[in-house]
Amino acid sequence: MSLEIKELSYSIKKKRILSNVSLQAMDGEFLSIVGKSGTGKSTILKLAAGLLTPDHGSITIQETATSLGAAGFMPQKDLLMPWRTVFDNLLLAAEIQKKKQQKRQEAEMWLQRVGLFEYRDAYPHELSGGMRQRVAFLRTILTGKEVLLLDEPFGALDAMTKKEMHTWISSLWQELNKTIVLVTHDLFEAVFLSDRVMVLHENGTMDEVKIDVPRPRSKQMTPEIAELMNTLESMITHEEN
Amino acid sequence: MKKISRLFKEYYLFILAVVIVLAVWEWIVQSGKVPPFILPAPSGILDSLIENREMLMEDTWATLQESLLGFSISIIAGSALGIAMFFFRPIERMTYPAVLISQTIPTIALSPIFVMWFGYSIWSKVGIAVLTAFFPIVVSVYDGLNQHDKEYVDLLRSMGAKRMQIFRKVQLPMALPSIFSGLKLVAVFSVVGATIGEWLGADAGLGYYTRRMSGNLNAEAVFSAIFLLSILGMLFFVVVAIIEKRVLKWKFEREEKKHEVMG
Repeated sequence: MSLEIKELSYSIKKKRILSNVSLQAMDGEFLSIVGKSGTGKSTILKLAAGLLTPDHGSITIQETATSLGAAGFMPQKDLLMPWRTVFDNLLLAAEIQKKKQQKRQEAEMWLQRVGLFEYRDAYPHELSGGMRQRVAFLRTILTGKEVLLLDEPFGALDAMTKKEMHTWISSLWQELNKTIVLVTHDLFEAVFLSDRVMVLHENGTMDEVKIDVPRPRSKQMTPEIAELMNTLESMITHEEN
Repeated sequence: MKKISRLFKEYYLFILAVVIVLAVWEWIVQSGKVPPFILPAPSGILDSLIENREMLMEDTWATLQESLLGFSISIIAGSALGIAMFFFRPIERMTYPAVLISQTIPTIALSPIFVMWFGYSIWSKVGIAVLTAFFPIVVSVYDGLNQHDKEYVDLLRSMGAKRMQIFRKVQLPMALPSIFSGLKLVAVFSVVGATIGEWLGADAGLGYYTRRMSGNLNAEAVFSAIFLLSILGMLFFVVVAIIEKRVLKWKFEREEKKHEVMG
């Protein structure tokens, strides 16, 4: 099991954000978490990354209790450092792990592979939004961690760029053999990318929807995808009725 | 060439204003509307500058040494305190109010104390320069370090970064713009501080020179020393600005690009 969350509770100043949440992600699985705003989706990722400490419950990543540096974390903003070149941004995690020299080749290989090698020495402000997000994803891969936690990484992109990113991430993930946990509120994104989608409710319970659509999946809205999205939507809005 | 023409384009109105002011000024004095011992003509100041060049060179050198020493000591000590305040909360609690209060004390009022302590040696002037420059540096370093974006810190923490790594890789680079604005301010302050020191007690320096010459009612000489002092201040400022442009190259390029996009 790549990621296992058991009976997780978390509150900020007595305000319950998460109560009794349990969740597992298998090795190499692409898992998405959707749900209304305020259900604490992003908080789950921050807890899993070790950025926050739970009040209750346990989080293990590859059978050991999570800690800072245990998983790769990608926030919504690209957070590329404007004073570093693309290449130096990619090597950030390697620098922190004091493995900069060993990782140079790997970083170059990734830039070649995604067609960004000519931007190796460019600064982030010279890149488009989509390119920046790609670099941010490569930076997450280059943490070398098996579990990648993506917190609404495409939320700030325009619709077209977002679609491109979906195909791009999907094909990369299939080669990567890493576990990805994605938090999103874009239901198409969740269905298109995931093996499994979890719907998080305010009371901490979750509904699970398996996405058995064979890959590579169509970028177009097929009836199959539309139906899965409808199912998810009714699960999310269900509480209100 | 392109650079020069761009500079000209940006500053030609200022150059024009300076030329007009100098011309009117010269005319007012030459036509006898204001006596030259009250306001000397620009040409008279230039004459005095050339006439006393050897003495002025020595005095400029003395002031340069004092302010440069004061500036350097302020940078080192001020950054050290600013960083210490950022890292250790008790230090911040202890010193930050004092730093703020100290800003309200007029430096000139404290200056005689330095003359009492260090006499006519260079250190009384350096001390006053430090007094004017030290606290603004502390504030710009400390405030700059607190301006960092917390999301970057979280990103680095998620990679398992230690506190020193976060400091070096995020907090310090993000503080640099604020630190440089502080340094540019202080570059000029340290010259002012050294000059004040020279008024109170010195046997060399441009401040000493102006005091001596004003005693002789030699307005031309006073103005020529003031001219050199402002050149000195500008020189300091420009040097810091050039270093800033080098270090924050990414920032200036990014802003230029933003202008292009918007313009």
